[in-house]
Amino acid sequence: MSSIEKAAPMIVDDETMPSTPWYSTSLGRSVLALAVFIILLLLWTAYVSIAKLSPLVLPTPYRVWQSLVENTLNGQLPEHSVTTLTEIVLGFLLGSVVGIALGVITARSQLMREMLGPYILASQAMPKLALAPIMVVWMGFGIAPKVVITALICFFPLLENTIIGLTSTSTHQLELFRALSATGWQTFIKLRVPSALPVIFAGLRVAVTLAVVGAVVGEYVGANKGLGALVIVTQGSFDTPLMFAIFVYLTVIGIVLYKLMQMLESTFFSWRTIKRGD
Amino acid sequence: MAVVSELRGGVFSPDGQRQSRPTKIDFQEISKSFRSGLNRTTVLDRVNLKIPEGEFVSLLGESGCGKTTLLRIAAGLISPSRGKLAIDGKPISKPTREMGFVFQQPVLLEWRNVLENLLLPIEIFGLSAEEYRPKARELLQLMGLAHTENHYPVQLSGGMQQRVAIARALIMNPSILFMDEPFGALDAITREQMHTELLRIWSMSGATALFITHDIGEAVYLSDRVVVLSSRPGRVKKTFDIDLPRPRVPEHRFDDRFVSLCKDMKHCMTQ
Repeated sequence: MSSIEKAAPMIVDDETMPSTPWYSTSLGRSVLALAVFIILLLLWTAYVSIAKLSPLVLPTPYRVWQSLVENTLNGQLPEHSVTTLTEIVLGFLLGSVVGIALGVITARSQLMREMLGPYILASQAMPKLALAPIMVVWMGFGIAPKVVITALICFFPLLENTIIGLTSTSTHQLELFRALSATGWQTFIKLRVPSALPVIFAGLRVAVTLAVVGAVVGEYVGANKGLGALVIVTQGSFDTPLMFAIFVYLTVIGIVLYKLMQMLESTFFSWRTIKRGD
Repeated sequence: MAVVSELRGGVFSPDGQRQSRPTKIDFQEISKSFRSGLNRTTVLDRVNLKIPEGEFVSLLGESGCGKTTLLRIAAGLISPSRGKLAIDGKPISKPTREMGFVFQQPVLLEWRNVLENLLLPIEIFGLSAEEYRPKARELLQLMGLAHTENHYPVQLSGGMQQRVAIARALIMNPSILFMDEPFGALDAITREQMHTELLRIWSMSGATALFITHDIGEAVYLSDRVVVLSSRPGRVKKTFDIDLPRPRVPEHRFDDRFVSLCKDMKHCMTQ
């Protein structure tokens, strides 16, 4: 057994590893992020008071904070968030499922690829948000048109990434499956799908942030509920601090959804985060 | 290991004469040409070759001489333009469960750990992975990989990955082992270790081995017979019987007989 290599050690020698700078540690990163945040708030406050801006144009961070707390406690922001979140989640699910399904069909059939290729490109080039007004005309002021717009936006990154992922399987691995006399279905399930998953997940990460845009813009066009609708209301009533509070909500929603996707992804690909031994 | 010596013992009779054994792979007048545009390139030209059961046979030739094509035909991965191929006397048109493959690259699935990679053929053949798990662990043990069963391919060195690929090829107890320059991408030291490992595990399996290489020393060290192929088109130039005793040990490489065989082969190849 002496001729056999031992597993490459997973621990890197202290001497060969450069020491981690303080700003790359998890505490250091948090401190840094907080410092930048405070500096930005101070600059913002200073600018507002020096330029003597009216709160209608640009409220101070403190005014935004007050409005955020007040409208959270009285339930207005949470209530509208629920509507927007529902649209985001439903639209994202609908668009992703249809996008992945159509991607699978297109990837499996050369004929479908040739036939649909130009239309996929054309519909991708078409700005989906421009369709929002007609959706409202067709489906009214409820959540349906927003779900559809969100779904349309989420659909394309998934369609494209699914096709790319499923058709770029390594030729060596395909040859292995041929040598094992694998059926077309086995090759699909055990080889093409798993090797496409990282690309599909990249599509999901793009789609989830786009979904927020879709829902909010859908609400801008015509809605009586949702954070986007509330932005339009605050525009009319010149309640700029509340408008900023809504932006904070939307940003947090976007970050949380993105992080959730990342977590889902990392549970799928634990092998990708493993460092090479040597 | 008792089984092993019995198996290997069958090769030579007490007076050292090679006994005739049934033909495992029979190439009869195999030709293969590929069309590219208006040109037809003949890659293999009327190759006749009989590979006896249980032998380790290497196909030796320069790159582009059609040796990989010959292996792919033997495995039923492609069909010949002319001629017949028989395994155990029966014509073959596609790969069977009787065959194990080791390619130039390890070709592991990077999302499966070592044990799961080993069990891939089992799953594809619709057998119970659970049932074969002990067998897979035993193979890992034999290849000195017991500690890596939960590792992912990215965590292994090139040599270890190729060992996993060899273990995967052996999981179904194949009667034929096809190897297409499996050690070409490894450094010289690892390659020599792998030779020893391969011979050890092959001798236990009793399988017929068809090994492709362009490395003369590797061919001589591993094989019972070496078939030298000419280039463009590929023809059988000469067949060498390697009469070095088994089990082979690294010292054989400095043996006079070993060296003279290498010289003869080099001469044959450059002729």
